[in-house]
Amino acid sequence: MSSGASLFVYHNPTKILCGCYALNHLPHELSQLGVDLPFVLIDDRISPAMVKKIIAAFRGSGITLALFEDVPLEPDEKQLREMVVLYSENNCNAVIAVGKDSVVNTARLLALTLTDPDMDPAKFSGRHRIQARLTPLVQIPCGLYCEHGGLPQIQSKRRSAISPLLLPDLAVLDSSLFKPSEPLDGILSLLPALAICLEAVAGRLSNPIIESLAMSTAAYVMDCLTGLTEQRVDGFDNAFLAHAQITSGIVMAGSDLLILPMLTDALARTCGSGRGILSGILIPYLAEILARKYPEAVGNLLMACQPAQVFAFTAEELKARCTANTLHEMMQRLSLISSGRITTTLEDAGVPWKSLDRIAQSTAIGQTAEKRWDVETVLKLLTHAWRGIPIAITAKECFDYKKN
Amino acid sequence: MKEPDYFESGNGVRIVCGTDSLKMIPDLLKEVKASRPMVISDTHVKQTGLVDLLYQSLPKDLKPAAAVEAEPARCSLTEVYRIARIFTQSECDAILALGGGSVIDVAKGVNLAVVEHVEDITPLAGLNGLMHALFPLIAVPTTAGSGSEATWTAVISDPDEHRKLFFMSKFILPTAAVIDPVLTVGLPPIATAAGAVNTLAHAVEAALSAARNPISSANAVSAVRLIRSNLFKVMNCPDDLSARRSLSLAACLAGMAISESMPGIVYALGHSLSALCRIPHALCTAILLPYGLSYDLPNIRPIADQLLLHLAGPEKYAQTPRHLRPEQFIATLYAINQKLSELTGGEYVMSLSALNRPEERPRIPQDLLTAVAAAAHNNLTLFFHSNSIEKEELLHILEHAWEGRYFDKN
Repeated sequence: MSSGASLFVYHNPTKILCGCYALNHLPHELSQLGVDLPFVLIDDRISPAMVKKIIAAFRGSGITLALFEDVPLEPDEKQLREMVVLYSENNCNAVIAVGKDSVVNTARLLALTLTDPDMDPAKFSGRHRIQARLTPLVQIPCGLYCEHGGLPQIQSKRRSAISPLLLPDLAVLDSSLFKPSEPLDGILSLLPALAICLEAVAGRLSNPIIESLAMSTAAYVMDCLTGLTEQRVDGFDNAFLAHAQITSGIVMAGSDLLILPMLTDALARTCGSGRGILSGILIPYLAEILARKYPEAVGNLLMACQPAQVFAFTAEELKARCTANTLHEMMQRLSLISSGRITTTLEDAGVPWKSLDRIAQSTAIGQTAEKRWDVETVLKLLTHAWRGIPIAITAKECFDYKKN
Repeated sequence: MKEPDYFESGNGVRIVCGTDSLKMIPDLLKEVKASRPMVISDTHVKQTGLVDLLYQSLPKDLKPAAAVEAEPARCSLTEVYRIARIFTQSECDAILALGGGSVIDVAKGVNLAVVEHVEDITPLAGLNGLMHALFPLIAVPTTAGSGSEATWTAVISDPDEHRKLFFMSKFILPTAAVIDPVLTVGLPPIATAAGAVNTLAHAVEAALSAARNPISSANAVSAVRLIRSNLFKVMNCPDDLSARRSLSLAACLAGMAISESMPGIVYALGHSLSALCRIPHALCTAILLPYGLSYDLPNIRPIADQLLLHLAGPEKYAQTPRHLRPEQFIATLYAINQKLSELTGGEYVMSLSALNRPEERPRIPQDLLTAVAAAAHNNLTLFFHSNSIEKEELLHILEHAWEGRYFDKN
């Protein structure tokens, strides 16, 4: 009997309602969760019309909303305690975050504080240190997330906690709550999602179910990118882009340690560029490095990056190289159509050369336990991405892969 | 880039998959604060020693409060009521369902009967008939096919009415699915083959469904790829645990896919045939798959083209002229059935009439096909088929499947 059937665990607690009139389904879904008194945190940048629309969805549903409209960008402990008191006084039984990243972060902090009143953010910083199931959490984004809103992550005083338990129970992505945006802005907010999904598949980090989710999300984002660069589309229903953001969060929660989100966070602190641009720069170089380690997995990604026809017609041993090349070309084209707004090197993104060594050291240390990345490899990735020089995969390497 | 205007996705079942996953059951029970589980299996599962294997994974302080065997191959209301009474009398607080799709479906039925405190669950049939959370249910499949461990559907037969009832609610979804490939190693080749093609039927129909969404399509495609890479490995080497795990996982993924997007013609026909002729659902579906899809080919060409890549692999896809790919997809399905028939020494049959043995009472009387078509036409799942289908068309498919005659619409 063969023994190669390793164990994995998969759990995705998030139900996603996506598209037209998604909001109308929310009261029913809350009832199914046993929620009748949600505490609703509303981003103060949300227009009154949108707030009205959300309230209207609950009319006649028997669900009473406790609204909290002045959500601070970064609540301190006192403000969090005030929210806890209001939550308890109103006998609430769920937290709903309406808005963008900061309100989601606050909602997660609140859910964590409700679970553990003496919550010390330091106690939870790092991965998988949250143990108890949190108060039911619902996310209603009004616009695409730009930071960690779609990810199972909390940011507090430069500390960060990642846990599958931070995934929402419900994500309501109603098309009418998303203002039409420049397609390029949509794409920028999607690049971190693409990076997560590509790494999850290419690095063989996850389990097969997560891989399936990551592959489909990556394919969707690549399809959007291709449509945009080939001028086949001139806009998107942003609710569907938000869906890709939420699914990338589920992928991240189900994967082992991913290096790209850590690297982009570290790089973003050294320059004025956002996580979207930085993720986009790093993606092809990451594919090149992983292609040497996991040629088959990176080769399979070609299915997400190119039409089925191209995947089928590319020789097995060249698929990984073709994947990396496709990603490079994609970034070049995005740079072109954005008139250089999307940059293709870390240098152009404003990352100081001298910071690379420190970032490589700190990121690789975080990965020591898994032994996936050493400082030298991370530095190689960063220096190539800084200079914009591909880490060429030679034909010999490709054919060696075939031989092996 | 064509999305539906609106879709819902989400399947909260916790999946523990791999060898030794049985050992996770105590933790899963502890997590849901259950201490008096009822074990539901069937006589065949018990005879093969799998129940003992399950008991070995439980610590001494966590012994089942009750253990019952359901009547094999009879996932009926009678069984549900009998077991529900034992559950209540024994004050159980969770269910461990160890068996194939029928056992897991009986367990789901028991769960809703005890929570809803009803003597008759038939009024709860249909979509969203439940409003309360049920007892924790841990499904431990011993076959790879139905995917019931990851669906929010329970299909329970009503022997008096010769029909199968569908119970569909998110509350029916098991709390956890524990997939240990070791449990499927002893399956006879025919059961492995029929289970895998049943999985294929679920996956393909989920990918073709009008109610598909990006997540269900992704799960369906992954299931198809897992079947392609592992089915014949298992048929040739039944002890290959890695390949067995992949088949079980494919069944689970296909189950997740049909839960969200619903299956179609093949599933509906398979259910009616199974209910009226008392033949395992997986076998019916496996036989009907190529016939049902080839009949529907004009409506499914673009997706059949894509599915060929996953079912036959990139080489075959590249070799096939673009305009012939949908036909090649159907031909691949026939070829799979053909090869399975050879590998099982003809036990896995390719037509409905071949299920009838000479000098035995026919399992499928030909004159019953009209009734099967009529029952299938009333099946809820056809509502989600991409185009409407008439009773006569269903009968036409059944007649072809009966004779083993392929459709050739070109």
